[in-house]
Formats: sequence, structure tokens, C-alpha cells
Amino acid sequence: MPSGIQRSTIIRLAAFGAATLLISLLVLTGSRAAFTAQTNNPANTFQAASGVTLTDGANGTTMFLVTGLTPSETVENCIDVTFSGESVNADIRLFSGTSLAGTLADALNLEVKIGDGGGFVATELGGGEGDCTGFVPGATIYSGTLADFVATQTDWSAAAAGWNTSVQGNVQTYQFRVTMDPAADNSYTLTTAGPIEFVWEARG
Amino acid sequence: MLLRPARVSASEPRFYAGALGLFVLFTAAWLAAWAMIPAAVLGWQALVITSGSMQPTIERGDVVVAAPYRGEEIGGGTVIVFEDPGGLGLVTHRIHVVLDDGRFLTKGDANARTDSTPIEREHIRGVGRILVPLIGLPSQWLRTEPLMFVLFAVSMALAVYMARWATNDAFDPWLDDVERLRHLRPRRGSRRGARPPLRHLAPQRSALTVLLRVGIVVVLILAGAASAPSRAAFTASTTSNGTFTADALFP
Repeated sequence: MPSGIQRSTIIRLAAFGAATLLISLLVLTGSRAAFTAQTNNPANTFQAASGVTLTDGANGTTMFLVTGLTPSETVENCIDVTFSGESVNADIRLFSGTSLAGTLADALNLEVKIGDGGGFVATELGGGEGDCTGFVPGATIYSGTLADFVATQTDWSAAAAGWNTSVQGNVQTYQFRVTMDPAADNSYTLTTAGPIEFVWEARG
Repeated sequence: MLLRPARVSASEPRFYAGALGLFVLFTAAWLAAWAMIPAAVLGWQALVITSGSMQPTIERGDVVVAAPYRGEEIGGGTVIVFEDPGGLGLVTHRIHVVLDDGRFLTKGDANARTDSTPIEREHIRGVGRILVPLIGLPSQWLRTEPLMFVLFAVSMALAVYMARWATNDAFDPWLDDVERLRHLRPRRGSRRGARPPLRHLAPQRSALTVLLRVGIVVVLILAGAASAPSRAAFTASTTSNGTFTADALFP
């Protein structure tokens, strides 16, 4: 039956043709969508539900707004940072988002510790108040002058590791203690440091 | 000569099921080809994407085939593969902005913020050219989700088994019995006679075609496993700030 032979051959060829067409279309359209240069990145508007988010209790507001500092004086604040999103093993680091520290930064010592408890309570005036009540300190992730912090902890790669998590809603509290150098002389009167942006970045 | 109905019946539905198995194998072969041939012929690099920060354009388990970067001009929007400055291996992200000093600020499509460290030209390993969907999944499953890998392996084995219903003429429903008889061989254990009855006949197996089909599946799995992993790293950040002013008069 010659027509029979043709029929099975046609079906075999159809299976081959359909697979070829399907995969070629998938690869070509997918490559085009992904690799065509776009100067205006449309993904800015896309927020992956499965992505990673990091939030802090201060929610972008100011953690420190200190005036009238005198030598030996210490101010401290606690801020809670929450990791959520996809369960990737995220490495969260703290660094400076500012490149100019200001004169006073040389005379300020910064110590940052990671721990549990305490946190930041935002107020209606746009500021907020850190509360270190109940803070249980863990590792010290930075100790040095504020000027050095700004100069050395410039981005995620340069920053000290301190917190790894893949747990949804994992919270860590960062305690910032800023002490003015007891030996600071009068040349520092009325000088300013900051505003210094503290950035937490999670990579996973 | 009158032949009794063959034991090895040839039904049309079974032939179509065989065609489906064949389709699955061809699909697998094409995916493997797209991932491996540009790498083998042009020296491009195939990378399995292991996380999802380039969603929705590049999914986890996709393979990005990247052409080596030879210092050509590249602009914003180009997907590049670079060595993570933090030492976390290869990262596949999109160039967000080209900085004045020639470095690149990159960003994952699914990330809200750009990566904090600008990328130097010499850290760029490749430029994304071909996106092959799904092919990296089996090797990913092998590492992280054994159950999914077993499921995948079973379905591929099924496709290999089914494919012979469409390739072996002994199952061809549009051939007559005389034709099909030529593709049958004595079943194991049946007595050798001058002409055994049809029910003692089984389809001839060609070791070559079976090998070929198993080969396709093995290549499919290897295509993913052989590609270097590249993270499409998720980044997220949050900020706060502080301002400090010294007193006008120190005690």
C-alpha cells in the first residue's frame, strides 16, 4: 500500500517539523526579547513578586540627626532590617552610599554591631527614634572613624559580611554607636559630618 | 497466502503516541543543539542561569549563550556576563548606564536597584546572544530537586520507548501484514521453525536507533550540566542616613 507508507512518513516528518518550528520560535523570540538593547529598561516598572526585598524600620528616614556634639559624647541608635523575598541564600552587607563624609567625620568613631532585639520606631514628623532596649549584641561589623567608613565601605564588595540568610522575614538589628573623639580640639566646633547614607544591600 | 491477524497489532492511536514521543525527542535534541552548537563551533560560552533576577525575560534554568567580549562598544540595555566583584562567580545582568569613566552600572531586570559596584571592561566575560529556554533545568533538578529529576528521567525514558511505535515499521498501521512481517523477528524463547506463527514474532530492534534516542536524552542533560552556572543575582537594598554637627563650644 504505497499511500500508507507515505502517511507514516508524513507524520514522522510532521513531528520533526513541529519540534523544529517550536524550538526555533522559542529561541529566536526569547533571545530577541532578552538581548535586544533597550536604552529604556522596561524592567524598572516590573517588580518581581519572587524577588528579594530588604526593608529597614526607619523606612528611608533619618536615623541620626544630632546637633551640639561635644568631645567624648556618645549617641547610639538601633535599626531593624528585614529580609524577605525569594529563598535564596542572601548575603547582606552594610556600606556607605555617600562619598563625602564632612570634616567632623574624622573626629567621630563609629561602631556597628549586629544583634537581636531593639529597633527603629518611625515618627510622624518623618524622622524616627531608634530604641536599643533589649538589644543583644552579636558580632561587630565595623569599628573605626566615620571618615574611614565612608572611604572604605564604598559598596557591597568592599563591605564587611555579617549576615547571611535565606529565611523569609528574618530580622537583624544593627546598633550604631557614634562617639566623638575625646581629644577633638576646637577646630571641630560647628563642623558637620553627613548626611551619610547607610545602605544595606542583599545579594543572593 | 492468508495470514492470521498479527499478534503485534498495529493501531493508529499507538502510532500517533509514537509520533508524540518522537516530537518530545526532537524538541530535546533541538534545545541541546541550540545550547551546544554555538559553543562548540563559535567558541561561545553557554551559561545556566541559576537564579531569577533577570525575570521575566530570563528564567531560572534557561541557558544564555554568550559571545566572548572583545572590547567592542556596548551600550545600555545589553545583557552581559561578568565576574562578580564580590567574588561570587559569574553574574548575568543588563547594563543600566554606561558611566563617564567607561565602567558599567548593571542591574537585574527583576531588581529594584542597580548593582552597587560598577563593572570594569576587563571583568566582562561575554555578551548575551542566544537564550535557550528550559534546558538547564534537568541539571538544576539533579542538584536541588531529585524528585523532579526522577520525574523528568522517567518521562524521557517513556518518550524513548514510545518513539519506536512511530519509527519501527512493524508498528506501522498503514502497512499490510506482509510488509510488517519483514520487520518482525522471533520472540525470545520461541522455537525456531521454518516459519513461526505471527504471535511468536516481535518487532525487530535496532540497537543504533535506541542508542541514538538515549543519546539525545543524555546530551540534553549534559547540555545543562556542562554549561557554567551564572547567577542572575538578586540584589535589594534599603537606606537610612545620619547627620552629625559639633557644638559651638566644647567644654
